[in-house]
Amino acid sequence: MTIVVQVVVNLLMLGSLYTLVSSGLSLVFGIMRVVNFAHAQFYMLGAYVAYVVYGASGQPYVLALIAAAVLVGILGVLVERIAVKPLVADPSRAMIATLGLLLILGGVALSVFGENPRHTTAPVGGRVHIFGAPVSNQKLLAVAISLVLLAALYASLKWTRQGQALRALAQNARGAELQGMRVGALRSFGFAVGAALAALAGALILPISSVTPDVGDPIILKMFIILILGGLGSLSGAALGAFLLAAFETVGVTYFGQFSILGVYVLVIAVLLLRPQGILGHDRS
Amino acid sequence: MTVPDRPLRGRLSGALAFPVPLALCFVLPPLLLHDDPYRVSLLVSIALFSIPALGAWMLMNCGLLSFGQGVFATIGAYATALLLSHAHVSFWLALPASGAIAAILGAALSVPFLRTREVAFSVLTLLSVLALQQVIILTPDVSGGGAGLFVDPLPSIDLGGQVIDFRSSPLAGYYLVLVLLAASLLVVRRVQRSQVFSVMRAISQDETLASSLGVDARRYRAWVFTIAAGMSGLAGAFSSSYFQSAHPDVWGLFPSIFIITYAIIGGRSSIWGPIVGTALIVVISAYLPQADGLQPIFVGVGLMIVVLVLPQGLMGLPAVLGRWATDGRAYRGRRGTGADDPGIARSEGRDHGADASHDDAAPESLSGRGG
Repeated sequence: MTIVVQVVVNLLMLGSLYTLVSSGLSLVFGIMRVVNFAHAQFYMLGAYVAYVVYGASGQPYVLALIAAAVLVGILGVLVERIAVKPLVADPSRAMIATLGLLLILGGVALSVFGENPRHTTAPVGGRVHIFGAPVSNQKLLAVAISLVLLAALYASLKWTRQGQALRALAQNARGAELQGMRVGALRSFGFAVGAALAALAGALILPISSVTPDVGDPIILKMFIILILGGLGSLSGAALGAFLLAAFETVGVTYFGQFSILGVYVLVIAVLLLRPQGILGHDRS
Repeated sequence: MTVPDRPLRGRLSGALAFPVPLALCFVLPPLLLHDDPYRVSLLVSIALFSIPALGAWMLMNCGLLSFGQGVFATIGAYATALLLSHAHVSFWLALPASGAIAAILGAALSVPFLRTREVAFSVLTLLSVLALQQVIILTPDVSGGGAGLFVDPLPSIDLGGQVIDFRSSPLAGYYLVLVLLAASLLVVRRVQRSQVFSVMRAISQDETLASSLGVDARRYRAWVFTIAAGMSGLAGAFSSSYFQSAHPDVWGLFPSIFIITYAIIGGRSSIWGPIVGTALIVVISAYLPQADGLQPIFVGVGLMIVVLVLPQGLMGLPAVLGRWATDGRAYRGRRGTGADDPGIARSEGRDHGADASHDDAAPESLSGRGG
């Protein structure tokens, strides 16, 4: 029973964090058709910002979260302006530019922080017992905040003007432009939101784990798995893919061992062959 | 039969453009480097990484960005390691066998991989690199897991009196890999000169158009993929014996990204592009201060410069400079100055509506897609 509870908590935590990161990537792809390889580095940088603000300078954790979102969001706008916007007409070149950014951002983090992992103490200490199993409060906090953020994202995309504008842009950019929407500003905004979400995920997981400059590398892989499974450009697909992957990594590994990871790859290949647009994706031929 | 598309003078200089640089690669190093082991090892790295870079280059010219050359190199490396240790075959047999194994695997993987579109293909190749690393880590009994395998060193060659010992002579190792590179170049050149290749290049991503012209694009791409896999397998096989180790990271995620980077930086147009790209980055990386993180920054910046400013890569630089000098106007790539641009197509929003946005201007983009 103890194990079941802990596996479920881990599943919720990983699933919601993965959803945060993949929603950002999916959003960017939806509005710009660009695959952003550097997205995982936003996650890594969010963790480092949180480390600097909360871990090294001792500021309140909330401030660290806000700082991570804002600073990395601004970085996202810069990235979009420099690397993506000039190449928006050729997605594969833009993809390569983001690849260059992946290398640059990783290299910068390595130069500034070095390769040793950085830890912080948990802002919310202690444990809670659920059905007799100890669960760290920090994990619960991370789950709670992620779910709130995701709900906010979903709500704003559905009901706010900016959110609806982004969805319009994703559906038909030319139409959006003809309607007088400021496409350039919207794109930057969408990119910033995506980056901020990834950064928040990194900041949320920092107290639970640690951060190194290459913490983003496995995330790149996971993000693509998630988006292939769930469908690019679909937020519910991002959530589905995220929780599927998290399920393999938590439930699968606990009960079936490391070979569950191979199971994920098999699933990915199967989806690509049988349903290339992803389980919840739209058929875009 | 190839379609002659250049005047005689161009074709002659083309004919000379191949053997001469190749000969220089053989002749110059002993004269210039005097067996300095460090510098020769740099040359070995350049030649070694150029081989999968050539494979990636070929695929680039078919409109595919493959991050997966590392997969086949790893396969080649481990095939050689296992053949040498378990089957006790000679290295000279293990080498081509490993290349063949990698090629067979390439042919097999090409079936599912080539059914996906451009972006999914790239992502899939990237995933396969990581997946193979996982498989290796999960099977330590066979593959040595994360620690890697020890591999027997390159065997000495006895030429009836004269013995070539790879351990004592750094240049010998270089010549061996250079032979592999030369063989790869010949194969790639043969592919490049085929008519199908020219057609493929001109229409890159559009399979429908290709088949309307009688070109079986998918089958052709499968061939190119297989050949690239075999070449990378050979490189991996050499590397495992030369470095005396087979390890999942040697041809892992970042090396695979670097390989396609070398091809991109070198440019689509010239067969020497990937080699020039590899040479430039390897050499500059070697002379960068050893501070952590500088190398990825440098490669990343180089990549971005090429992508943003030099779509034809370094080999296109002379053309760019030439145009700049004669035009009297700064060359601004596809965006142009706007005023002389005939279409309204330059505004931001236009990329979207139609997904297959083929532009009829000369394809300067890396994959041949319009824009």
